[in-house]
Amino acid sequence: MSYNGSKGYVASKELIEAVNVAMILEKPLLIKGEPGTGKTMLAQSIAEALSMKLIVWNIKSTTKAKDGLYFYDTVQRLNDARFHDRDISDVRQYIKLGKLAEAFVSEDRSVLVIDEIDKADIEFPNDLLNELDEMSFYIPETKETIVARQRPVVIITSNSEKDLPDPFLRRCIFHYIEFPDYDLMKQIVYVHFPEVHKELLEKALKIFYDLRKIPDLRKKPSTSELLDWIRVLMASCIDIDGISLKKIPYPGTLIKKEQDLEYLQRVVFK
Amino acid sequence: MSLLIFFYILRKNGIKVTFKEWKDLYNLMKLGEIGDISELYFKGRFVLVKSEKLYDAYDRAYIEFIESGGDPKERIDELMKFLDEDYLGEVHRSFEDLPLNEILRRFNERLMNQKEKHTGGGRHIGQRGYSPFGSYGVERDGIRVGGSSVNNRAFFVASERHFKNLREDILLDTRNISLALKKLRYFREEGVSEEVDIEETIDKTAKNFGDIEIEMKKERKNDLKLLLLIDNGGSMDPYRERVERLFSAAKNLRFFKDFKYFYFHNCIYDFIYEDMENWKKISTDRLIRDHNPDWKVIIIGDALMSPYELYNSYQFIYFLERKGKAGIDWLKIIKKHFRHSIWLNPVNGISWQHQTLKAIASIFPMFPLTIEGIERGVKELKRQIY
Repeated sequence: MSYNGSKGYVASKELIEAVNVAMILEKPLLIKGEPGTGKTMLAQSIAEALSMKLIVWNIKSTTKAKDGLYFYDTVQRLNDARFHDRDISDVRQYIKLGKLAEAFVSEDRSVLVIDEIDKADIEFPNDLLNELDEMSFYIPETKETIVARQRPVVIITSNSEKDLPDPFLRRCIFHYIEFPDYDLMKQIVYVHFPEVHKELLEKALKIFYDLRKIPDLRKKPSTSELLDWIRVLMASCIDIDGISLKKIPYPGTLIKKEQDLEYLQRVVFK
Repeated sequence: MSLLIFFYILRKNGIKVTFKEWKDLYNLMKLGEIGDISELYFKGRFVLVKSEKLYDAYDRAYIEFIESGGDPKERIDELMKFLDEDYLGEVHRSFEDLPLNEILRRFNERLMNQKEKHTGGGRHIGQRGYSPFGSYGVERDGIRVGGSSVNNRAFFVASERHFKNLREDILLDTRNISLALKKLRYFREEGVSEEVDIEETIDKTAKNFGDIEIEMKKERKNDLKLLLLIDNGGSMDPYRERVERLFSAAKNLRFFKDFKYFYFHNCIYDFIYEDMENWKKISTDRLIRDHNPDWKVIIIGDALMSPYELYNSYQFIYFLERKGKAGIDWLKIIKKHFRHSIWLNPVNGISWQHQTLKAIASIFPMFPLTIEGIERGVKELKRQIY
C-alpha cells in the first residue's frame, strides 16, 4: 500500500516519498513548514487516498500526553452512585478514550494526525515516546492494556515555534514543506478552479509572489488567501489588464492584517 | 566502507546522525527503497536530518560524499556492493585489526591535522565518537584524551586542554536552556474557585453519608515575573551568541506572567537602556520604582572592568549615564530591592579571579553561563523565595 497523492491535494514528489518512507519504516512523519503549506491537509489526503479513517488530535498549550490516552470520569460515577441511575460496578463505562487510543482500537488502520505539536508544553513530545514506540498503554483503573490492532499512520505537524526534543526527533521521519513555487502553485490553483483563465491565473500568481517578496509584511499571503482572491477575481469578471501590483482589486482577501494594508497603501499602492 | 564515509561526512558537517537513524537508512536499503544516488539524497534526508536548518549542511555533506568517490557511477556500484554487508560489523571492524603502533602513528597524524575541536564522528579526535581516538567513545583499544573512560579499555591518556569545555558548548542550545529555566516555574493559587476538586469532593461526600458535596479548587495561576538585565558592552562581544540563546529561550517560554529586559554598558549606572540602538533609556531609579520586589532578576555580564568603572562615583567616559552613585552602589541597591536575583557570567576560568568580578560576585550569587550554571542559578533564585 503506498500513497500517491489524492484528488484535490497537490503534493510534491518529495512529500509523497516522505509519506511512503514513514509508512514503510512504521514511524511517525513529522511535517514542518510555514502556515498555508497544507500540513494538516496532508493527513486528510492520505486518509482519502488510502480509504482510512482520519483521527485528528488538535494540540493546545494545555494539552497533556495523557489526554490522548484516556480520561476517567470520576464525577459522573460518583453522581450515578448517588442517584442509582445505573449500575456503577463496571468502571469501564467511565473510561473515555482519547484520540491516540481511538486510533489504537480502530478496527481498520487509521491516519492519526497530531496537529501543531509545538503548541504544547516543551516536554509533551517526550511523554508520548513510549506510546508511539510500543503502540500500547496500560489503564490501571480497569487493569487493561490497550494495544493497537493496526498500527496507525501517524502524521505530526509543527510550526516550529519551539525546538522539539532530540529523542523524539530521532524516532520521526522528517520533512520540511517548502512554500510552493510558481509551477506547483499553478497546479494547486487548477485543482481548485479547473476553469480558471490562463491569463488571469498567471497575472494573479505574479502579483501574489511579488507581494510575498515585500519584506515588511507581518503576514505574507499564503495559499488559502490566494485561492480566495482568485475566486473573487473570477466571480467579479474584472478586466485583467487593469490589475497590477499597484492596483490590486479586493486587497482585503489577500492581506489579512490591517497594518499590512495600511503599509501597502502608503508605500506600494500609492 | 563507502557508505560509512557518508556517515562521517554528515557528522563532520554538524548533522548528529545517531545509530538509530543510520539503521533506518540501512533498513530502507535492505527493503530496496534506495535504488540510486538521488533516492539516497531524499530518503537519506528524511531519516537523517530532523531540522530544515540543517538542510544546507546536508547538501554540502552530500556533495562532499559524492565527490569523495570520484566518478559518481562507480560510487553507486560501490554502494550497491555495500548493501550486502552488515554496517554495524563494519564499524567495529574498522579499527580492530590495527596494531598499537599503527594506532599511535595515526593518532599523532590526526592531532597534527586537526585544527577545530570535534565531537562525535569516527575520524577525528573528540568526544563520544567511535574513532579509537578521543574520550567517551566505544572503541576497545583506543587512546583516551582526557575524560574518564567509558569502558576502561583505553590504555593511554593524553590530555589536551582545548577539549575541556566541549560539553558546555554542545549542550547550551535553546531547548536545554528552556528546560533549565522552566524549573523557575512555580504556581500560586489565586482567583475564583472554578475547578472541581475530585479528591476533596469524594472525601466530603463520603463523610456526608453519600450526599454529594462538591468541593471547588482555585485555579492555578502562574505568578512568575522575570527581569533580564544584559551587559551589552564591547567586552561581551565574544559571548553574544550564547547570551542571545538564553535571551531567545526566555522570550519563547510562555509561562512568565511578565518578562522584560534591559541593557547596560559595562556596569549599571544612573540609566539603563530599553533599546541600545536608539539609545532609549530610563533611569535606574525608575526601573526600581516600576518593578516591585517580586520580580526575579537575572543579570548577564562579564563583570570585568577597570576598578574605577565600578568604584568611582563619576567618570567622564560615561558622563551621560552617571551623576551621583558609583556602579557598585547601584548594584547594591538593585540587590537590596529585589528579593531574588542572580548574576550569570559567560567568562570562564582564570578571569573569575579578577578584582571587579570578585567584588560583584560578593553582591550577587554568580554562576557561569552554562547549562549547569543556569540550573544552579535557577535553584538559587527559587531558594531565595521564602
